Amino acid sequence: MTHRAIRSKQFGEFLALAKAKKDRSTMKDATEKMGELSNIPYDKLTAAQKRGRLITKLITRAYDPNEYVIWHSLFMPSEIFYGMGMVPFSTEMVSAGLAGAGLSKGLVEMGEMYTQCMDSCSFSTCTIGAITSDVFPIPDFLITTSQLCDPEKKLGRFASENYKRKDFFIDIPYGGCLLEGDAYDTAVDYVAKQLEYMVAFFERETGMKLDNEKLARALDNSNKAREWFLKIDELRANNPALIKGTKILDFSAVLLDIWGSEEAVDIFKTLHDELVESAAKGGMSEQYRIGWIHLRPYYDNTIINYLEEECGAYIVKEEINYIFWEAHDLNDPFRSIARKVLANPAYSPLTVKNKIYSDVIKKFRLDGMFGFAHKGCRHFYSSLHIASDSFKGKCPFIVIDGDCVDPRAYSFPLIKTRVDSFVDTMKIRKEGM
Amino acid sequence: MDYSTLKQSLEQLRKKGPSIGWFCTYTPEEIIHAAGYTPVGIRVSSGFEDDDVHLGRNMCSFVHSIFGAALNGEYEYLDGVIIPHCCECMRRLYDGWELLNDSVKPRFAYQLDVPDANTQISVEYFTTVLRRFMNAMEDKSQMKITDETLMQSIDIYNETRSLLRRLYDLRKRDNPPVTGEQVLEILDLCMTVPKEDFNREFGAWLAGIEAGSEPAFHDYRSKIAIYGGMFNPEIIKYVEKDGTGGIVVCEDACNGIRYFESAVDLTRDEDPVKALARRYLSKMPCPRMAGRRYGDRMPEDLLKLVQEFRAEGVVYYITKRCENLYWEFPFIKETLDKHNIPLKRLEGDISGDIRTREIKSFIELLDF
Repeated sequence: MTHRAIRSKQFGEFLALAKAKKDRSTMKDATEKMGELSNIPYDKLTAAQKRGRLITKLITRAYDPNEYVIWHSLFMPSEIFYGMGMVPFSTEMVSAGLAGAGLSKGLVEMGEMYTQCMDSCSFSTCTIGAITSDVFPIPDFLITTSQLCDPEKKLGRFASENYKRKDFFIDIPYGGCLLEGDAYDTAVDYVAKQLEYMVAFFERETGMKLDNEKLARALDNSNKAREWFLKIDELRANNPALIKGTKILDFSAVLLDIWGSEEAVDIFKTLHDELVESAAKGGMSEQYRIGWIHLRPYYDNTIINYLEEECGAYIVKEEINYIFWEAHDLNDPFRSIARKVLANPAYSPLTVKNKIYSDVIKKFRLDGMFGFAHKGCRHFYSSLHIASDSFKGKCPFIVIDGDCVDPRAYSFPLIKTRVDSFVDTMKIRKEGM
Repeated sequence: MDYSTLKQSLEQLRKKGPSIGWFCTYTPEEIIHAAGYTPVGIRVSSGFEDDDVHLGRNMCSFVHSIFGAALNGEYEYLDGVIIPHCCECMRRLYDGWELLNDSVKPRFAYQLDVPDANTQISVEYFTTVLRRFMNAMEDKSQMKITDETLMQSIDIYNETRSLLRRLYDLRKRDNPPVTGEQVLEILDLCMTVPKEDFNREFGAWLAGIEAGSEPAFHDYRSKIAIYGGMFNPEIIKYVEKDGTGGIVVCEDACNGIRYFESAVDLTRDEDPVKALARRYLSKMPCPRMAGRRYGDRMPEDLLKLVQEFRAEGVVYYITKRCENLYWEFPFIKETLDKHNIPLKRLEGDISGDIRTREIKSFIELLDF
């Protein structure tokens, strides 16, 4: 296929861009990182390195002309793609990676030339920049869902028109986790049917057939990985902080395209084992335990390093590592995946999230909640501000306005004053005046 | 009956009897009506935008206006409100309403989930959602909604739609007998007074205008179409002001043609609830809608309107913070550019100042 032949050139562009902006990177240069990781025997890698290798492998495969590459919007369960032998590519998660690699500023500016707006979500705007700069691999198909935000729907449409590749849209009922009885069953059927149509669409377009055994394996992998992650939660709830915030935040369990892969099982098992070891050594010398809401600025680690290293306020639970779904039923794959989609608390009224926050505060014995409000996100930015109102007088709750991808307006000294008051509040509550 | 008499008589019919407020044209008013309430469209700025300090700075001014008013008791005359899940900002409006329920009036709020796609199965699914909505309305009003009462409501609303289409047909004339400002006022009245009264009063006035009337303006006017969500009425006022030299002939907007375009078709679906679901998902779309059936439709719909109403230029008004409008713009621009239709992009709130100089120079350019 002609569109696939261009991928190798795009990979070259991507690597060249990464190299050119190497100095801005909060990570090591992407090329070096890939080389470095591939030289270490797999069993010697840490969980974070295994995760890095898997992500690198997925991204590299996405540029491979022989692969079926599916661009998809956030929260699209990746299990089906593994079941179909396709490569999932979450553009917005890759944009987070681009921010870490120091590439987002220029790409956001490129994207803004298209949207003519400096007020939109920079994840999506950065993706537009990457598309117009031709550094992303051309997809075979695009899958967009209504979960979670408005720009993603347009982003899928833009990419589809730009690359002249077909897109498939899935409508997800809002507040699915609040539905009960027949209403819930109807919603599950509605989503499951659309997932089946999506598979039929793939089969029609590619001539491939869904391998039910492969899908069952992917769901089984997903269940096993989930089990390990729940064990990780238990360990973290019952021990001092066991891992650095920047590291654990980057696992972004609910967002990454690793669910369904065999590697994910091993990654979370390795992480579990590392935390057991860390617990045996007594963990970190924490003074305060905090929960982190939403994502982090990917271009800079100062806030979290300051919180943990200077203030002793360790992140012990993150919203993006909250496993909200039940184990998959291997005998009922589509309805099972539909239930996972509908269980997403982020796509529900805020009362659902507030209840989870309360439970997490209790279970993880949190001293405070730290929300990083991505300013372009109508959804999370607003919900964080409303939630912080709800927790007034109950738990110290700070909301820092910022941008996860676009570094242009970032200033740590401005944030520091507020972070200090947040830590003081936790101190007063914990130790008294 | 002249226009000012019509306006006066309709204004006197406002705020009577039990009523339920709504904020988005994806709200099926027919169900509210069948439950014995007057549906009241909240479509203009309340003036309390700055009073909302809870929802966060990146909400659109429409949502800030509604929530600010709710916190100030401005909607106390309503028995409740319906907040559709139609965009991210409306999503959070409902959350604010729920979590600050002790501070808002009225306290009753129902969140109606509206699918983003128009497919056979989304129509089926939305039918079930609407049935639940009907049950909630029945519980609130203690009044049973039967197929018969619902069909009666649908007939009344279809009549309103037919009357408004006739009004818009008048705007296709070389020299329209109504101004854009008058049409906007009529739509606002239509959304806030009982439809039976509106149909009677407005129908009589419309028949008179159709029989023969003077053009609204005697001098030459450039014909302008507006695209937007909830746009600022000041645009129309300014476009049509003496000295600016324009007349607004159609609005592809939530406070425009999207409100009434396409009737509920009871001949296609025997089930009135399904007929409602189909109508609301297939009506002229707001840019919130997605999927292949909509991919090309929004720019194409606007293009059709521009051609039908012979608009010479389009003002694309972005309500600040509306992601759907920001992101739809490039698609609209591409389509209009292909057809050499001049386009002006403006950004602002649902009320307050607009960039008058830009509008004036845009219209001046059209005249060249």
